[in-house]
Amino acid sequence: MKYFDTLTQGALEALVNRGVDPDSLLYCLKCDMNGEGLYYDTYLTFDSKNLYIVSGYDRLVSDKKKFHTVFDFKEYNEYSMEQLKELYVDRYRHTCRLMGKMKAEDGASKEREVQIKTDDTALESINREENRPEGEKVWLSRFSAGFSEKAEQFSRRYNMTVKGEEIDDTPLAENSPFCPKCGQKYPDPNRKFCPYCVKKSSIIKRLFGLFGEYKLQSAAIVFMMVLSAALAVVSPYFSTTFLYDKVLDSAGEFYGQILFAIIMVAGFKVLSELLQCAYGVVFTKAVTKVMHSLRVKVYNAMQHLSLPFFTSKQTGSLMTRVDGDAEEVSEFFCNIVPGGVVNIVKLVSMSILMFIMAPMLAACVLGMIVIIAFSEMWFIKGQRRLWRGINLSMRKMRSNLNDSVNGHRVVKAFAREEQEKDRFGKSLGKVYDADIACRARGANFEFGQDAIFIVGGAIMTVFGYYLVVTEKIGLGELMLMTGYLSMMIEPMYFMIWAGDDLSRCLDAASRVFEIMDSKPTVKPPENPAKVGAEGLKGDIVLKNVSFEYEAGVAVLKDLSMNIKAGQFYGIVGKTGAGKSTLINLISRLYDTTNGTISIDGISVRDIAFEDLRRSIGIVSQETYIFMGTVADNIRYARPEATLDEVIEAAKSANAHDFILKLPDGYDTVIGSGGADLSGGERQRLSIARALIQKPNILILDEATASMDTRTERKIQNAIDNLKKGRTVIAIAHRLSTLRDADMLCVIENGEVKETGTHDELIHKKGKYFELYKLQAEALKTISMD
Amino acid sequence: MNNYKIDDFSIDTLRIIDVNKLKLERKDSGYLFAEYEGKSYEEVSLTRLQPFYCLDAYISVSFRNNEEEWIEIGVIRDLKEMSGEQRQLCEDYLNFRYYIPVITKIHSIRDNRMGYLFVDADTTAGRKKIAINDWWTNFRINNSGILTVTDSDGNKYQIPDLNKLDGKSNKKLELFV
Repeated sequence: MKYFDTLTQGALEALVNRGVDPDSLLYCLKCDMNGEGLYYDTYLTFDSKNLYIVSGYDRLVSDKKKFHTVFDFKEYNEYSMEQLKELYVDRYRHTCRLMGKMKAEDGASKEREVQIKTDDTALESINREENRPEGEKVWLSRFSAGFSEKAEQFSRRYNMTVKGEEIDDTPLAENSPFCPKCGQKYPDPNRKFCPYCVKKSSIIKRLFGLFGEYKLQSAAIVFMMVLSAALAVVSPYFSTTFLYDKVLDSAGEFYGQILFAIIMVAGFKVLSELLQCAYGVVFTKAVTKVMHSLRVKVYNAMQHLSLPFFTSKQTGSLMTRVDGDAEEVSEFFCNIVPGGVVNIVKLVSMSILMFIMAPMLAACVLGMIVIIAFSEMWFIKGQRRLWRGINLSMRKMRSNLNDSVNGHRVVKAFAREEQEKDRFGKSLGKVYDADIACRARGANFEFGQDAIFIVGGAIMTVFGYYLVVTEKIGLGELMLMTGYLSMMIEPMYFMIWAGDDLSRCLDAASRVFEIMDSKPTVKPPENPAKVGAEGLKGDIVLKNVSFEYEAGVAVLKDLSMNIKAGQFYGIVGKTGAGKSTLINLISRLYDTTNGTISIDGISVRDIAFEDLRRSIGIVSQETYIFMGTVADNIRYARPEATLDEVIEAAKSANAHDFILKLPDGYDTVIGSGGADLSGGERQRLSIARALIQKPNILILDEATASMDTRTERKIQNAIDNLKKGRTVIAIAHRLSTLRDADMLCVIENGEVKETGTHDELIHKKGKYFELYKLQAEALKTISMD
Repeated sequence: MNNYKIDDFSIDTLRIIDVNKLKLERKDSGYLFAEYEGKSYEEVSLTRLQPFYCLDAYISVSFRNNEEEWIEIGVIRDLKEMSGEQRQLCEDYLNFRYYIPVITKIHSIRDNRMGYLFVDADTTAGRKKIAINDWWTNFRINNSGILTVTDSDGNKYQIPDLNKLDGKSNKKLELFV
């Protein structure tokens, strides 16, 4: 039993005690709630004959520093598959119920054995005489909405077992919601990322791995960083202790050698600056290269992922990953690593030097640093709340601004300018309040911290002078100590903030690596079938095809279809019937959940993506225009197409005329930031884009929906011309679009309801006839008006 | 059964249900059965039209037809208009349908910054460790001050009034709302 949940030891024992063979169990589902809405652990499992339900409470107990789960048994139920014929999920707003449909009886009473155990020792068997009407529904368990997908899959497998159908668990193995390392469930089932297993250190290691190609530069960078930090610490020594105690003091070793002192001070300073400059140049080059290659890797990885990856994530979030997250990761190299190395070297070396020179004063300086560090941490803790407040109010203000600017037509049409002013004013007011609160606290704290610094510095200086007077240290040493106190503040602040910055970087890095590690769900064939240069002809056979975007919600159900090469095949049906899904499956943007699709006798799973896509041209309802010229957009799928071919395709798609009217003809820049095109114009360009590809199979998914009747008619004629030697699959709401179809198919709720020619379907007086009548009546209404 | 036509061209209007003519019955399976204006409906559902602002008023009554579509019978303007027993039945059904665990106390919020926030909280359903991905999107506070939290599994939790939450819990939440 690999799926979906695992029975805890106690729950398993409860089943074994009732004679259930644990090895015969097929699947297990854990539900989390009882009828009163309290958390309650219910395990449902089944073998080839019965469904078993055992309920109670899972408790986590510690035993000699180890945690294990104890199951407090409460209730047991058992249903025979002979009686319980079907399981299904009944969804509510935030919870769901697992329901069962009993076997339909001919009005006769039947007996069901329910075994209920109310305590750990006694087992009761109650035989209940019940009159169950046909297909009565029974409530089996309740669970939070998050369990619904799993419950749907469990129910589906139960129903297939009842029917004796074969179950293919391969998709489950590929999309396991559990971390293979620790066995814990991923917090987000759509994000195969386990925060329990992924250690920060492993991400840091991987980040450093990006520098693998630049080992020599990396070594040079680290060497220069450490040396530069060491010089920064040593150089004040020459302007203080060395100058005052060794050069200016008559008892000093270098008494009177002022020029030497100046050379030393200046030399160290210049050397330190030169090193910093050199490491800056090498470092910037290496980081820029690393970041460039990271962005390329993320983008390339995204291009290889399947369509479901893009549809399951918001475009904004994906763009953030390529751009924002990569930027955030660059902080790691540009700020955290160099800053960390330099500041750690500075702090450690300064502390050591201070303790060697004057341990008492060093302790005093470090004590003050610790006080300042704690006060800063206290300040940050409180300030974070205020910063988040600003952040939240800013986001809300931006949302409001975005809303009213984008909706300005509606605002003006309804004359709601005053209302919008008021709304924006309120959100701006919140930003102001949050900002003031934050700044006021910051200013107060700065005052307090300055006071600590002044008082602490004064105490330290007095103590230092005392040490000078008592000749425990020299004046230069005291000045060096005072200098180090100021020099330690910055590294200390850095170290306090580094934790936050590092966490943010690692968070971004984990998301970036997640994309790089993602595997396409629609995999290219390992041994693709051979397809000739002429491409696929277009004999398309769909056999018992089922498909679900969301587990348990079937969009296509056991659908079979036979499209012959060269046929004009029309598909009609209501919105949401599954028509576009069918196209996605034929062109293998998704893989079927069940069943097979073959073209020219070859399964689409065995056809190389290149062969499949060059043979199929799709014009969808939603057209996308890329940034670039009109000509570039038309030749998108075949960049080598000549201008003759581009114009020919545009003419066929009835786009030539409107392109002529554009300011720069075929060179007019369109798309984001370019000339604006209407919906119909975009669709015509999209048709031209598909035609230039010269595909053997042309799929038109509501391709003429945004066009006026006259243009549609023209395009119909163009398509009629193109039909020769091509397989055309057209989806349309308007039946007139499909008037010349060789074969028509009506899809409803993901099932094929009817197939036949127009005449056949009209005579059949079924669903197609209903649609035909409806559209004819609608036209009649217009003519009557 | 129903006589409404799906492809009816007539203009749909707000149909207020005469509660005196409506008879609801709850079956063992939990589904509602209804009789209204001489017609009977096997599987009926009640929906709050404004689930945040109006809990007992503007309740839509719909039934599932043979094509598995939900068709509205009408709208109950106010549950107070109903008889005691019928009103209780509706309230019980709605409370069940809209049940959402309410967070009563927050023990800790751990922001491990690997994209997740872990909230250890007491809820009306029991104690729970809630994993939240992208808290900005999943902590939603509406104009009435109701905070809805969505965890990474899609489960929802609610805090109807932040001011009624104890001080310590409120302080822990402050960073996120």
